[in-house]
Amino acid sequence: MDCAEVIGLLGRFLDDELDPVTESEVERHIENCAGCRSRLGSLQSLGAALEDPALIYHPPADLERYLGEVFSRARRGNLSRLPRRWLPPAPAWLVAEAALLLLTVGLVVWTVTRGRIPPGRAQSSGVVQEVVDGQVRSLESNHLTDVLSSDQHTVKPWFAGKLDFSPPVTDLAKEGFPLVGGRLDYLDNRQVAALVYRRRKHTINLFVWPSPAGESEFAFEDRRGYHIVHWRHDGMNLWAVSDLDKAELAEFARLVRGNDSASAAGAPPRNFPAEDNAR
Amino acid sequence: MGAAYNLARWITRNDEDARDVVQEAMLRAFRFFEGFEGGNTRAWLLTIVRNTAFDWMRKSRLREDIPFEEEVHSGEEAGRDPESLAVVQADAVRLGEALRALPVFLREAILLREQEGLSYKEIASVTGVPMGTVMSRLARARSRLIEQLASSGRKDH
Repeated sequence: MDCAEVIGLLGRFLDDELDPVTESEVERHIENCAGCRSRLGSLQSLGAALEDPALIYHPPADLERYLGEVFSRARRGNLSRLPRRWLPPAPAWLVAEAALLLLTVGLVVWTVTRGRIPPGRAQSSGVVQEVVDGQVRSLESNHLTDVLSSDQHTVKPWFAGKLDFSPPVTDLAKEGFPLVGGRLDYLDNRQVAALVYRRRKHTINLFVWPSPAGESEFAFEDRRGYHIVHWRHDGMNLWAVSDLDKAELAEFARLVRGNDSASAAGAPPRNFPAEDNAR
Repeated sequence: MGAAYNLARWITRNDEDARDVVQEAMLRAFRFFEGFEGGNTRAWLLTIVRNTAFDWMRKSRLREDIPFEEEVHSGEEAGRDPESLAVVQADAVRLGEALRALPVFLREAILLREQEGLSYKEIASVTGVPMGTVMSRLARARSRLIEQLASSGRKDH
Protein backbone atom coordinates (compact mmCIF):
# COMPACT_ATOMS: atom_id res chain seq x y z
CA MET A 1 0.00 0.00 0.00
CA ASP A 2 1.35 3.42 -0.86
CA CYS A 3 0.73 6.66 0.98
CA ALA A 4 -1.76 8.04 -1.51
CA GLU A 5 -3.93 4.98 -1.06
CA VAL A 6 -3.62 4.94 2.73
CA ILE A 7 -4.41 8.62 3.15
CA GLY A 8 -7.65 8.06 1.29
CA LEU A 9 -8.51 5.28 3.73
CA LEU A 10 -7.58 7.01 6.97
CA GLY A 11 -11.06 8.43 7.58
CA ARG A 12 -12.67 5.02 7.27
CA PHE A 13 -9.89 3.55 9.39
CA LEU A 14 -10.61 6.06 12.13
CA ASP A 15 -14.34 5.38 11.94
CA ASP A 16 -13.89 1.60 12.16
CA GLU A 17 -15.54 1.18 8.79
CA LEU A 18 -12.86 -0.87 7.07
CA ASP A 19 -12.95 -4.60 6.53
CA PRO A 20 -10.43 -6.43 8.76
CA VAL A 21 -7.98 -7.19 5.92
CA THR A 22 -7.69 -3.62 4.70
CA GLU A 23 -7.65 -2.39 8.28
CA SER A 24 -4.58 -4.41 9.17
CA GLU A 25 -2.84 -3.36 5.95
CA VAL A 26 -3.41 0.26 6.85
CA GLU A 27 -2.18 -0.40 10.37
CA ARG A 28 1.02 -1.98 9.06
CA HIS A 29 1.64 0.96 6.76
CA ILE A 30 1.11 3.50 9.52
CA GLU A 31 3.57 1.76 11.80
CA ASN A 32 6.30 2.53 9.32
CA CYS A 33 5.21 5.87 7.88
CA ALA A 34 5.54 9.07 9.88
CA GLY A 35 3.69 11.15 7.30
CA CYS A 36 0.57 9.07 7.30
CA ARG A 37 0.77 8.78 11.07
CA SER A 38 0.82 12.52 11.28
CA ARG A 39 -2.22 12.83 9.05
CA LEU A 40 -4.05 10.28 11.19
CA GLY A 41 -3.13 12.33 14.23
CA SER A 42 -4.67 15.42 12.62
CA LEU A 43 -7.89 13.52 11.94
CA GLN A 44 -7.98 12.27 15.51
CA SER A 45 -7.44 15.76 16.90
CA LEU A 46 -10.21 17.05 14.67
CA GLY A 47 -12.54 14.32 15.89
CA ALA A 48 -11.84 15.12 19.51
CA ALA A 49 -12.22 18.85 18.89
CA LEU A 50 -15.63 18.35 17.30
CA GLU A 51 -16.88 16.81 20.52
CA ASP A 52 -16.14 20.02 22.43
CA PRO A 53 -19.25 20.85 24.47
CA ALA A 54 -19.00 24.43 23.25
CA LEU A 55 -19.92 23.13 19.79
CA ILE A 56 -23.03 21.34 20.94
CA TYR A 57 -26.19 23.42 20.98
CA HIS A 58 -28.81 22.92 23.63
CA PRO A 59 -32.40 23.94 23.23
CA PRO A 60 -33.57 27.02 25.12
CA ALA A 61 -35.20 26.22 28.45
CA ASP A 62 -38.81 26.66 27.37
CA LEU A 63 -38.38 24.47 24.30
CA GLU A 64 -36.63 21.87 26.42
CA ARG A 65 -39.55 21.83 28.85
CA TYR A 66 -41.97 21.47 25.97
CA LEU A 67 -40.04 18.59 24.45
CA GLY A 68 -39.69 16.89 27.82
CA GLU A 69 -43.43 17.14 28.36
CA VAL A 70 -44.25 15.76 24.93
CA PHE A 71 -41.93 12.81 25.30
CA SER A 72 -42.99 11.85 28.79
CA ARG A 73 -46.62 11.97 27.73
CA ALA A 74 -45.86 9.82 24.72
CA ARG A 75 -44.06 7.29 26.90
CA ARG A 76 -47.05 7.09 29.19
CA GLY A 77 -49.31 6.67 26.17
CA ASN A 78 -51.18 9.70 27.37
CA LEU A 79 -51.15 12.06 24.45
CA SER A 80 -54.70 13.41 24.68
CA ARG A 81 -53.39 16.65 23.27
CA LEU A 82 -49.98 18.06 22.59
CA PRO A 83 -49.15 20.66 25.26
CA ARG A 84 -49.92 23.90 23.53
CA ARG A 85 -49.17 26.55 26.03
CA TRP A 86 -45.45 26.29 25.60
CA LEU A 87 -45.68 26.91 21.87
CA PRO A 88 -44.37 30.39 21.13
CA PRO A 89 -46.24 32.44 18.49
CA ALA A 90 -46.18 30.42 15.31
CA PRO A 91 -44.49 31.79 12.20
CA ALA A 92 -46.60 32.20 9.07
CA TRP A 93 -45.65 28.98 7.40
CA LEU A 94 -46.65 26.97 10.46
CA VAL A 95 -49.98 28.74 10.82
CA ALA A 96 -50.88 27.84 7.27
CA GLU A 97 -50.81 24.19 8.20
CA ALA A 98 -52.71 24.65 11.45
CA ALA A 99 -56.06 23.39 10.20
CA LEU A 100 -54.52 20.24 8.83
CA LEU A 101 -52.57 19.84 12.05
CA LEU A 102 -55.71 19.89 14.20
CA LEU A 103 -57.16 17.04 12.18
CA THR A 104 -53.85 15.25 12.29
CA VAL A 105 -53.49 15.52 16.05
CA GLY A 106 -56.68 13.59 16.47
CA LEU A 107 -55.38 10.89 14.19
CA VAL A 108 -52.00 11.00 15.86
CA VAL A 109 -53.55 10.52 19.29
CA TRP A 110 -55.39 7.46 18.13
CA THR A 111 -52.35 6.14 16.31
CA VAL A 112 -49.88 6.83 19.08
CA THR A 113 -51.98 5.33 21.84
CA ARG A 114 -52.79 2.36 19.69
CA GLY A 115 -49.24 1.83 18.62
CA ARG A 116 -47.60 2.47 21.93
CA ILE A 117 -49.14 -0.10 24.21
CA PRO A 118 -45.92 -1.67 25.34
CA PRO A 119 -45.60 -5.40 24.95
CA GLY A 120 -45.98 -7.06 28.31
CA ARG A 121 -49.18 -5.28 29.25
CA ALA A 122 -50.82 -8.34 27.89
CA GLN A 123 -53.49 -8.34 30.58
CA SER A 124 -55.31 -5.49 28.84
CA SER A 125 -58.53 -6.41 27.14
CA GLY A 126 -56.93 -5.44 23.83
CA VAL A 127 -54.88 -8.62 23.75
CA VAL A 128 -57.85 -10.76 24.76
CA GLN A 129 -59.73 -9.42 21.77
CA GLU A 130 -56.74 -9.93 19.49
CA VAL A 131 -56.37 -13.51 20.64
CA VAL A 132 -60.01 -14.27 19.87
CA ASP A 133 -59.71 -12.52 16.53
CA GLY A 134 -56.68 -14.66 15.82
CA GLN A 135 -58.64 -17.79 16.63
CA VAL A 136 -61.59 -16.80 14.45
CA ARG A 137 -59.39 -15.69 11.60
CA SER A 138 -57.42 -18.92 11.61
CA LEU A 139 -60.56 -21.00 11.43
CA GLU A 140 -62.55 -18.93 8.96
CA SER A 141 -59.79 -18.15 6.52
CA ASN A 142 -58.66 -21.75 6.46
CA HIS A 143 -55.23 -20.49 7.33
CA LEU A 144 -54.68 -22.63 10.33
CA THR A 145 -51.12 -23.70 9.76
CA ASP A 146 -48.08 -22.73 7.72
CA VAL A 147 -46.34 -25.92 8.79
CA LEU A 148 -48.62 -28.92 8.96
CA SER A 149 -47.06 -31.66 11.07
CA SER A 150 -47.80 -33.49 14.25
CA ASP A 151 -44.11 -33.95 14.87
CA GLN A 152 -42.72 -31.41 17.32
CA HIS A 153 -39.27 -31.98 15.86
CA THR A 154 -40.55 -30.63 12.57
CA VAL A 155 -42.64 -27.79 13.92
CA LYS A 156 -40.20 -26.28 16.41
CA PRO A 157 -37.28 -25.82 13.98
CA TRP A 158 -39.68 -24.42 11.37
CA PHE A 159 -39.88 -21.22 13.45
CA ALA A 160 -36.12 -20.72 13.43
CA GLY A 161 -35.18 -17.85 11.15
CA LYS A 162 -38.77 -16.64 11.10
CA LEU A 163 -39.01 -15.51 14.70
CA ASP A 164 -36.54 -13.88 17.01
CA PHE A 165 -37.30 -16.48 19.67
CA SER A 166 -37.74 -20.24 19.85
CA PRO A 167 -41.19 -21.30 21.05
CA PRO A 168 -41.49 -24.38 23.24
CA VAL A 169 -43.35 -27.05 21.29
CA THR A 170 -44.61 -30.21 22.94
CA ASP A 171 -46.51 -33.11 21.52
CA LEU A 172 -49.48 -34.03 23.67
CA ALA A 173 -51.03 -36.71 21.45
CA LYS A 174 -50.76 -39.31 24.21
CA GLU A 175 -52.70 -37.04 26.50
CA GLY A 176 -55.41 -36.49 23.91
CA PHE A 177 -54.27 -33.15 22.49
CA PRO A 178 -52.47 -33.94 19.23
CA LEU A 179 -50.35 -31.25 17.63
CA VAL A 180 -51.70 -30.20 14.25
CA GLY A 181 -49.01 -27.73 13.19
CA GLY A 182 -47.91 -24.12 13.55
CA ARG A 183 -47.95 -20.73 11.88
CA LEU A 184 -46.82 -17.16 12.37
CA ASP A 185 -49.32 -14.67 13.71
CA TYR A 186 -49.32 -11.11 14.99
CA LEU A 187 -50.44 -10.01 18.46
CA ASP A 188 -49.64 -7.30 20.98
CA ASN A 189 -47.66 -5.40 18.38
CA ARG A 190 -45.27 -8.18 17.60
CA GLN A 191 -44.84 -11.41 15.73
CA VAL A 192 -45.83 -14.46 17.71
CA ALA A 193 -45.86 -18.24 17.28
CA ALA A 194 -49.23 -19.95 16.95
CA LEU A 195 -49.25 -23.65 17.77
CA VAL A 196 -52.35 -25.55 16.76
CA TYR A 197 -53.69 -28.49 18.69
CA ARG A 198 -56.85 -30.54 18.42
CA ARG A 199 -59.09 -32.12 20.99
CA ARG A 200 -61.74 -34.26 19.34
CA LYS A 201 -63.38 -31.76 16.97
CA HIS A 202 -62.15 -28.65 18.76
CA THR A 203 -59.23 -26.57 17.58
CA ILE A 204 -56.94 -24.97 20.13
CA ASN A 205 -54.68 -22.08 19.19
CA LEU A 206 -51.78 -21.63 21.55
CA PHE A 207 -50.09 -18.26 21.04
CA VAL A 208 -46.57 -17.92 22.41
CA TRP A 209 -44.24 -14.94 22.59
CA PRO A 210 -41.47 -13.75 24.91
CA SER A 211 -42.16 -11.88 28.12
CA PRO A 212 -39.72 -10.07 30.35
CA ALA A 213 -42.04 -10.46 33.33
CA GLY A 214 -41.90 -13.39 35.72
CA GLU A 215 -44.09 -16.44 36.13
CA SER A 216 -47.83 -16.08 36.59
CA GLU A 217 -50.75 -18.31 37.47
CA PHE A 218 -53.43 -19.31 34.99
CA ALA A 219 -55.93 -16.57 34.24
CA PHE A 220 -59.21 -17.32 32.53
CA GLU A 221 -61.34 -15.24 30.18
CA ASP A 222 -64.43 -15.81 28.10
CA ARG A 223 -65.09 -13.93 24.90
CA ARG A 224 -67.63 -14.49 22.13
CA GLY A 225 -68.15 -18.11 23.03
CA TYR A 226 -64.47 -18.95 23.28
CA HIS A 227 -62.57 -19.85 26.42
CA ILE A 228 -59.14 -18.41 27.01
CA VAL A 229 -56.49 -19.30 29.51
CA HIS A 230 -53.24 -17.37 29.73
CA TRP A 231 -50.13 -17.45 31.84
CA ARG A 232 -46.44 -16.70 31.83
CA HIS A 233 -43.83 -19.40 32.16
CA ASP A 234 -40.14 -19.66 31.48
CA GLY A 235 -39.84 -16.25 29.86
CA MET A 236 -42.87 -16.66 27.61
CA ASN A 237 -46.44 -15.38 27.38
CA LEU A 238 -48.78 -18.27 26.56
CA TRP A 239 -52.39 -17.79 25.54
CA ALA A 240 -54.58 -20.78 24.71
CA VAL A 241 -57.97 -20.19 23.08
CA SER A 242 -60.63 -22.65 22.00
CA ASP A 243 -64.32 -23.43 21.99
CA LEU A 244 -63.34 -26.46 24.01
CA ASP A 245 -64.92 -26.44 27.47
CA LYS A 246 -63.07 -24.53 30.12
CA ALA A 247 -62.04 -27.51 32.23
CA GLU A 248 -60.42 -29.40 29.38
CA LEU A 249 -58.73 -26.23 28.22
CA ALA A 250 -57.35 -25.85 31.73
CA GLU A 251 -56.03 -29.39 31.57
CA PHE A 252 -54.39 -28.59 28.23
CA ALA A 253 -52.75 -25.57 29.80
CA ARG A 254 -51.43 -27.62 32.69
CA LEU A 255 -49.98 -30.18 30.29
CA VAL A 256 -48.34 -27.47 28.23
CA ARG A 257 -46.82 -25.82 31.26
CA GLY A 258 -45.21 -29.07 32.13
CA ASN A 259 -44.73 -31.37 35.01
CA ASP A 260 -43.35 -29.02 37.58
CA SER A 261 -44.70 -29.38 41.10
CA ALA A 262 -47.26 -26.57 40.88
CA SER A 263 -49.11 -28.07 37.93
CA ALA A 264 -48.72 -31.70 38.97
CA ALA A 265 -50.39 -31.02 42.29
CA GLY A 266 -53.43 -29.53 40.58
CA ALA A 267 -53.72 -32.07 37.77
CA PRO A 268 -57.25 -33.48 37.60
CA PRO A 269 -58.16 -36.93 36.33
CA ARG A 270 -58.50 -37.06 32.55
CA ASN A 271 -62.21 -36.94 31.97
CA PHE A 272 -63.76 -35.75 35.18
CA PRO A 273 -62.68 -32.20 35.96
CA ALA A 274 -62.66 -32.03 39.77
CA GLU A 275 -64.12 -28.52 40.05
CA ASP A 276 -67.25 -29.28 38.05
CA ASN A 277 -67.90 -32.51 39.89
CA ALA A 278 -67.68 -30.73 43.23
CA ARG A 279 -70.68 -28.53 42.36
CA MET B 1 -33.82 14.98 22.61
CA GLY B 2 -31.08 17.58 22.52
CA ALA B 3 -29.59 15.85 19.49
CA ALA B 4 -32.61 16.98 17.48
CA TYR B 5 -32.10 20.62 18.38
CA ASN B 6 -28.34 20.45 17.87
CA LEU B 7 -28.69 19.07 14.36
CA ALA B 8 -31.40 21.57 13.46
CA ARG B 9 -29.26 24.40 14.81
CA TRP B 10 -26.19 23.41 12.80
CA ILE B 11 -28.19 23.03 9.60
CA THR B 12 -30.17 26.27 9.87
CA ARG B 13 -27.42 28.18 11.67
CA ASN B 14 -29.67 30.23 13.93
CA ASP B 15 -31.74 29.75 17.08
CA GLU B 16 -35.16 30.89 15.87
CA ASP B 17 -35.18 28.66 12.84
CA ALA B 18 -33.86 25.72 14.84
CA ARG B 19 -36.71 26.11 17.31
CA ASP B 20 -39.33 26.17 14.55
CA VAL B 21 -37.77 23.19 12.83
CA VAL B 22 -37.69 21.11 16.00
CA GLN B 23 -41.34 21.79 16.80
CA GLU B 24 -42.42 20.93 13.29
CA ALA B 25 -40.22 17.84 13.34
CA MET B 26 -41.84 16.63 16.57
CA LEU B 27 -45.29 17.00 15.01
CA ARG B 28 -44.13 15.07 11.96
CA ALA B 29 -42.60 12.38 14.15
CA PHE B 30 -45.91 11.72 15.84
CA ARG B 31 -47.72 11.79 12.54
CA PHE B 32 -45.36 9.31 10.97
CA PHE B 33 -45.07 7.10 14.01
CA GLU B 34 -47.56 4.59 12.67
CA GLY B 35 -45.29 3.87 9.74
CA PHE B 36 -42.26 3.36 11.91
CA GLU B 37 -41.41 -0.28 12.05
CA GLY B 38 -39.15 -0.18 15.02
CA GLY B 39 -35.36 -0.36 15.19
CA ASN B 40 -33.09 2.62 15.24
CA THR B 41 -35.27 5.29 16.84
CA ARG B 42 -32.50 7.87 17.09
CA ALA B 43 -31.59 7.65 13.39
CA TRP B 44 -35.29 7.76 12.48
CA LEU B 45 -35.85 10.88 14.52
CA LEU B 46 -32.71 12.58 13.20
CA THR B 47 -33.87 11.81 9.67
CA ILE B 48 -37.13 13.61 10.34
CA VAL B 49 -35.35 16.59 11.90
CA ARG B 50 -32.89 16.81 9.06
CA ASN B 51 -35.55 16.59 6.35
CA THR B 52 -37.72 19.10 8.19
CA ALA B 53 -34.77 21.49 8.36
CA PHE B 54 -34.16 21.28 4.62
CA ASP B 55 -37.86 21.58 3.83
CA TRP B 56 -38.01 24.62 6.06
CA MET B 57 -35.06 26.26 4.32
CA ARG B 58 -36.63 25.67 0.92
CA LYS B 59 -40.02 27.02 2.04
CA SER B 60 -38.54 30.09 3.63
CA ARG B 61 -36.61 30.79 0.47
CA LEU B 62 -33.45 31.00 2.45
CA ARG B 63 -30.44 30.24 0.41
CA GLU B 64 -26.99 29.87 1.79
CA ASP B 65 -24.51 32.16 0.14
CA ILE B 66 -22.20 29.24 -0.26
CA PRO B 67 -23.31 26.28 -2.35
CA PHE B 68 -24.93 23.25 -0.73
CA GLU B 69 -22.17 21.14 -2.03
CA GLU B 70 -19.01 21.60 -3.99
CA GLU B 71 -19.59 20.88 -7.63
CA VAL B 72 -15.98 20.31 -8.49
CA HIS B 73 -14.13 17.50 -6.87
CA SER B 74 -11.09 19.33 -5.65
CA GLY B 75 -8.98 16.24 -5.30
CA GLU B 76 -7.52 17.32 -1.99
CA GLU B 77 -6.15 13.94 -1.20
CA ALA B 78 -4.00 13.55 -4.28
CA GLY B 79 -0.50 14.94 -4.32
CA ARG B 80 -0.55 16.12 -0.72
CA ASP B 81 2.76 15.99 1.01
CA PRO B 82 2.06 14.33 4.37
CA GLU B 83 5.06 15.88 6.03
CA SER B 84 3.89 19.45 5.53
CA LEU B 85 0.70 18.98 7.55
CA ALA B 86 0.94 20.50 10.97
CA VAL B 87 -0.79 18.95 13.94
CA VAL B 88 -4.12 20.68 14.13
CA GLN B 89 -4.43 23.23 16.85
CA ALA B 90 -8.10 23.85 17.14
CA ASP B 91 -10.13 25.86 19.53
CA ALA B 92 -13.89 25.77 19.62
CA VAL B 93 -14.34 29.28 18.25
CA ARG B 94 -12.18 28.70 15.18
CA LEU B 95 -13.61 25.25 14.64
CA GLY B 96 -17.16 26.64 14.89
CA GLU B 97 -16.34 29.20 12.22
CA ALA B 98 -14.82 26.56 10.02
CA LEU B 99 -17.91 24.37 10.43
CA ARG B 100 -20.27 27.18 9.54
CA ALA B 101 -18.21 27.85 6.45
CA LEU B 102 -18.65 24.30 5.19
CA PRO B 103 -21.31 23.53 2.60
CA VAL B 104 -24.29 22.20 4.55
CA PHE B 105 -24.14 18.62 3.22
CA LEU B 106 -20.53 18.32 4.33
CA ARG B 107 -21.31 19.89 7.70
CA GLU B 108 -24.23 17.57 8.44
CA ALA B 109 -22.14 14.51 7.50
CA ILE B 110 -19.22 15.33 9.78
CA LEU B 111 -21.48 16.27 12.70
CA LEU B 112 -23.59 13.12 12.42
CA ARG B 113 -20.36 11.12 12.46
CA GLU B 114 -18.44 12.93 15.20
CA GLN B 115 -21.14 14.40 17.43
CA GLU B 116 -23.87 11.79 17.08
CA GLY B 117 -21.54 8.83 16.49
CA LEU B 118 -23.66 7.43 13.68
CA SER B 119 -22.24 4.69 11.45
CA TYR B 120 -21.79 5.25 7.72
CA LYS B 121 -24.85 3.14 7.11
CA GLU B 122 -26.91 5.25 9.51
CA ILE B 123 -25.66 8.49 8.03
CA ALA B 124 -26.56 7.21 4.56
CA SER B 125 -30.02 6.42 5.82
CA VAL B 126 -30.55 9.76 7.60
CA THR B 127 -29.24 11.86 4.69
CA GLY B 128 -30.74 9.73 1.94
CA VAL B 129 -27.58 9.16 -0.09
CA PRO B 130 -25.48 6.07 -0.82
CA MET B 131 -22.65 5.12 1.51
CA GLY B 132 -20.08 6.05 -1.10
CA THR B 133 -21.37 9.60 -1.06
CA VAL B 134 -21.20 9.62 2.74
CA MET B 135 -17.55 8.56 2.68
CA SER B 136 -16.71 11.16 0.08
CA ARG B 137 -18.47 13.94 2.01
CA LEU B 138 -16.72 12.97 5.25
CA ALA B 139 -13.35 12.95 3.57
CA ARG B 140 -13.94 16.36 2.03
CA ALA B 141 -15.34 17.82 5.24
CA ARG B 142 -12.31 16.65 7.20
CA SER B 143 -9.86 17.91 4.60
CA ARG B 144 -11.45 21.32 4.43
CA LEU B 145 -11.68 21.69 8.20
CA ILE B 146 -8.06 20.67 8.75
CA GLU B 147 -6.90 22.92 5.95
CA GLN B 148 -8.84 25.88 7.27
CA LEU B 149 -7.65 25.35 10.84
CA ALA B 150 -4.05 24.88 9.74
CA SER B 151 -4.10 28.01 7.60
CA SER B 152 -5.87 30.21 10.14
CA GLY B 153 -3.47 28.88 12.74
CA ARG B 154 -0.53 29.84 10.55
CA LYS B 155 -1.90 33.36 10.13
CA ASP B 156 -1.55 33.98 13.83
CA HIS B 157 2.07 32.94 13.98
